Amino acid sequence: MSIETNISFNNLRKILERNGPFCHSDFECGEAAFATLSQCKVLIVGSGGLGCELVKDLALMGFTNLHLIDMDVIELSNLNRQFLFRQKDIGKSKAEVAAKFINERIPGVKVTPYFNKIQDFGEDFYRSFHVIVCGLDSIVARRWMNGMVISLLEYEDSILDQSSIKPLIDGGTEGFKGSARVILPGITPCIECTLDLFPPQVNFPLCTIANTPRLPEHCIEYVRILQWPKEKPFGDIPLDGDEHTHVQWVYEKALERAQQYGIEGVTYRLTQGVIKHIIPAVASTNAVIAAACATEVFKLATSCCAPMNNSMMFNDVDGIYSHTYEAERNENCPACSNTPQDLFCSIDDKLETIINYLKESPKYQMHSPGITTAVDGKNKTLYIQSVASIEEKTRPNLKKTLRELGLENGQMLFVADVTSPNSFIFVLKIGNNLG
Amino acid sequence: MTGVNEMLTFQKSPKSPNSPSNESEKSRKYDRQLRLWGEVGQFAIENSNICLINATALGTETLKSLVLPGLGSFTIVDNTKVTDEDIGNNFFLDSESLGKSRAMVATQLLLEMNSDVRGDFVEESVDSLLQANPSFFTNFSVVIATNVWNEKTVCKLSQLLWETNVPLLICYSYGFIGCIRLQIAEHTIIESHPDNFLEDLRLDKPFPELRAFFESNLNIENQTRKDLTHTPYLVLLFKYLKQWQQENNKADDCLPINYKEKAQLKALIKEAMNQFKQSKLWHSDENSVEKELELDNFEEAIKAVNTVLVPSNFIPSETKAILEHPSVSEVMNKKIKNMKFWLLVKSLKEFLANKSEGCLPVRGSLPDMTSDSDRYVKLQKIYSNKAKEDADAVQACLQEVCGTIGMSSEIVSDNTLKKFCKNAHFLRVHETSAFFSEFANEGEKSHHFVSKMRELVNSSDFNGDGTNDFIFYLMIRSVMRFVTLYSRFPGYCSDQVESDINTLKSCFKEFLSDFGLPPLSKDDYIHEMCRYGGCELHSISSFLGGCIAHEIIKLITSQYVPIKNTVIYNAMNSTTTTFDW
Repeated sequence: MSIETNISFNNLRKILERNGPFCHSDFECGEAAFATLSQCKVLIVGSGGLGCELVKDLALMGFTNLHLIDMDVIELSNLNRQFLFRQKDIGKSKAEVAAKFINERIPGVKVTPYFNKIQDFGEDFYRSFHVIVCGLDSIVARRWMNGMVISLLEYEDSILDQSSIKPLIDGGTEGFKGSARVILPGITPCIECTLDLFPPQVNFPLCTIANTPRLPEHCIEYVRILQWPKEKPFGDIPLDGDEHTHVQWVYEKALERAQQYGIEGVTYRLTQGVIKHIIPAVASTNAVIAAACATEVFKLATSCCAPMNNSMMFNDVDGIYSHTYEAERNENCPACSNTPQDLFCSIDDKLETIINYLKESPKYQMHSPGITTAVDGKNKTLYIQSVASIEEKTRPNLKKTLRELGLENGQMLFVADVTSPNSFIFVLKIGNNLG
Repeated sequence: MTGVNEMLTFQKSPKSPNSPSNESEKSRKYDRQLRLWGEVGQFAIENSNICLINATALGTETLKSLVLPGLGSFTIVDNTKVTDEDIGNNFFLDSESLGKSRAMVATQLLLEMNSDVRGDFVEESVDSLLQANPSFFTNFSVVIATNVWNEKTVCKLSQLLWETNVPLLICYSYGFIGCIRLQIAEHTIIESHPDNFLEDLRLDKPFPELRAFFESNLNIENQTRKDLTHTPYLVLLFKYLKQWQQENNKADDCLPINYKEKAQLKALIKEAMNQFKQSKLWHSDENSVEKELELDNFEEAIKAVNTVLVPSNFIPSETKAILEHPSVSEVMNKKIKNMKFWLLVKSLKEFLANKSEGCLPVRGSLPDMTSDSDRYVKLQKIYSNKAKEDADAVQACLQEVCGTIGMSSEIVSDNTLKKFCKNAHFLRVHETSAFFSEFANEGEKSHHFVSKMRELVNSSDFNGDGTNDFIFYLMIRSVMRFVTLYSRFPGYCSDQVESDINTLKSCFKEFLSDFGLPPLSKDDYIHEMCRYGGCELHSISSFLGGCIAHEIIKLITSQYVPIKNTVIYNAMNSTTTTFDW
């Protein structure tokens, strides 16, 4: 590899052109190992706190063919950690600004930005990368990417074709805690195998919010959920957590309600935090987790070390604590086990009950599942929420039992949800308690 | 005099004025971190100044995570020129900077990230600064030394900062290995922000207002379904605790302590819950909304048996040790380190002895629980009023303590005192050993360090497959010895790798024999160190830089708990290990 610049990769060359006693048995040191870095096409998903770090880390670890995707634009509150962005960049595409910065700072590196949603691209796009690294704050997006790399797997006579495997390295942070994991789809546990690691989002019961508030959050939720749509203070528009006047209105109303009940602690910052589901974030944790992920990409690309097997938790509130462990695969994983899911139920369960189960079960945690099935070789839509006209047409089905819908034991249901690019196949096992 | 007088100032932008719009803009920019360390923590960060020795990738990555959150100022000490290798692993040295001052370019590119931050640099070597102007280093909030390999230099720096109680972080990034060593004579922490802690709810010895509340709420038998399901679980716990005490002939302030006793109490609550569910009142015709109400509060009470029944006079071991610390009596002679903290501890000790029957001040916070608004808010007020009352009593003790030594108690602000009382269960005092003591001549080494070394070496299976990352501390020390002797890294040049293995091996052997330990038979670790040849990999430095930056934030905000005292990062296995000696 020859770049006409003042950069020397002597540091990397020592690692890649010399053998050592702890190297992976597949490692072949030499110029070729170094050249791998420029041949390896890496996709970085997310250009936020982790993404900015990742693109810098990978560029300085010798990777030159980097691709960066993010649908978001830069906000003021990003600047305390997303170090490739400045005040003047507010409102611009994160991916584009980050790519431009790296391309200008580090000669020989080409970062290609995509100002897009991950769902804008299909299998061909994702198949073109050698490794994918995720630095996302959204669990839905993470699950979708996970579903995508799994759908790229190819099986022949139920034997996995190794060349179809796209390693997925996933990082996440929250305050001073973080995690990093290496996923070899079809081989090591995927995101869905260990879905119960993500605690379901806290939602306060509506009756508490409406009748017996006791926390400042209850008062804010009351205003957000009940008062805003009723009073329409700014006309018939949705509440915007980035719009100061909106947040201020919610804050004042919530404060009023809190005073009625003698509840303390409603502040502007808390109000905005509740409305936007803000997760606290600092530069240091993002640097640590992104670096841990980048090191794993480096190991996978060069084979110089065995990749992490397979997960790490990090927390530096009390000292520097990390725990590296082997998470286990769920042999019955809805995403990566390559087998349909058994859905135990009773013939008298309503469709609505089934849908709620798919949303609430820690194993599935779906958001708005849509269900279709096949009757006499024809597709039949049982319920789909995402398209308003179909929703209206299929809504009556919700109150019907499986019997009334004419479903039978062993029938296949195809369930689609925003958490995955693919539908899941369920097989009805009638005559049981729901599970 | 060289050093400070000739110090070049790259940029000194005045702090932005505190106009309201500016403040709110700043508050929005730092929103995600203010939610963690608060305005007080942010203020401390904005008023601290850090010294970085060597603008290595490790050094600039550390400063990056301090400049972004709005550090007051930094000063880089580095007398080297940018090499092409530096450009290859350091984000804050661009390709134009070859041959320029490394300190200058790094300062410039770091400052681009945040206009709130000031940065200076000094183009001098640490050695000459230590020689000519040692007080230069003692004016910083924290000093961080990255990749300072010379044993003599690092010992001199360590000794200087130890004696002046300036926190020092000594850090190395070497191939796939990292090492962070913190040295601080004494660091006191009020807000340690523990992730897990025991609640402080005083159910065994309720103070009069709390007892009165419980007693006026005990009659739940005739409550409507709505009221019963909204009775806070604290009331239930208290009620069945009393029943358990009576049935088992226990004293009025006795708590179930073992598994068997806790199971008895849980069974009582469970039984009561079942009875309620079968009662007439439970099934009397009420409107459909109320029929949906369940006894979640009883379930909460059963769970809470394990977590909230803490004796009122419980004092965590850390707080106990702090109360017995020599500084508590020394504070009466004035002029000690962390004076305010020790005055507060002394006052707390007086409070425990004379005013609270050995119970720490009530924390004043109430966990969330199923309840109606009225009873929850009342309970909350009862606890927070008592916390205020206890803080006032500690304040009175403080006045007395300060009076005895002829000081004004105003030296401690009301807010600090309140925070201290609220965190009385979580106080920490952090003291590490001195780094230079690890290098003392035989016979002068601290006994503790020597025995810890021997213990670690003897308990590790370095010759077999057992991995213990303690070996990498020994390796870093051997490389330091090598660099001190030969002024280069082992294996720096490819044609010297083989011969350097033997030289490094003898450095290691020498190191072990200092502790009366035999050499190791396996050379793998020595070989690996020579393979690295002093290389610094960006992602390893970036990982360490993030860790170090947060350690510095802990030190300057006095929040959270720093490392004690050495952390080894092994990127081959993606693990970190902490050692204390």
